[in-house]
Amino acid sequence: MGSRSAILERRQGWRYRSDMGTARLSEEHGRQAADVRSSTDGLGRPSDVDALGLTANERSQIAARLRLSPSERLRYLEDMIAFEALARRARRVT
Amino acid sequence: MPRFQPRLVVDVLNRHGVRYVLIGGVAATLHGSPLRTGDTDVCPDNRPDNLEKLAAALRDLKARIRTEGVEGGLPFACDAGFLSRVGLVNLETDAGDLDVSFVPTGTKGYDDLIVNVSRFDLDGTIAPTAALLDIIRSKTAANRQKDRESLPVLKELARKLGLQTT
Repeated sequence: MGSRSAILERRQGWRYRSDMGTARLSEEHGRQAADVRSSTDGLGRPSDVDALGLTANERSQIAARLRLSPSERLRYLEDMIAFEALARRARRVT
Repeated sequence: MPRFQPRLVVDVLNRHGVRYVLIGGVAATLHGSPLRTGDTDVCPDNRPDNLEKLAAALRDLKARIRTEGVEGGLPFACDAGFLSRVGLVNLETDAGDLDVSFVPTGTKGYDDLIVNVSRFDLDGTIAPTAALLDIIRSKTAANRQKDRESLPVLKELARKLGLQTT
């Protein structure tokens, strides 16, 4: 798996972003994932949004969800509901 | 099987002594937001000693880099050196999707967010959580469609909590 990762990283420049920013993995100098940089358009907006306003990360998450079986989707939903129940029980201490 | 277990993320980060703040949807949920979220976002302190702890925690969580077309994510060299070079990284872990962002949009990172941090007791696990107003500040700056959709809810939540939004 490690060599597969290295090959992918060398052959592809792949990008991903999160809820509050953007980063890019580059193949520069053929090095493995050592050259990730922030990437926004200067206004705090991600620079990798598509025509629908989705980022690469969001598209990746959609693809991952589509791969789930019905029972896996149900389990995921149960996890979300369980966390919401935990949050309702949560006590703010400071 | 993909999971969504923010408390496990918090447990592992705490066990390793990582300095971090929960941000994003999980943080909003802890403040009372009714908006559903399916991944965990954290903003860690990016000082070298903390990156060592964070890397160890991420290895415990079996973190892989999340990227489209690679089921299960890409393995990577999860060490402080790697983390010191990333602005943020989207991960798949045994506790679900985890986004690590060192300088969330509209903030100056951990040192900024820790100032107003809230701490929630999750059945015995303490979760350092970004202040609701800081979450609103970041989402306002990010200004994506989903942020614009969630902001009215978060602002109403803040209003009901007696917080002053601008």
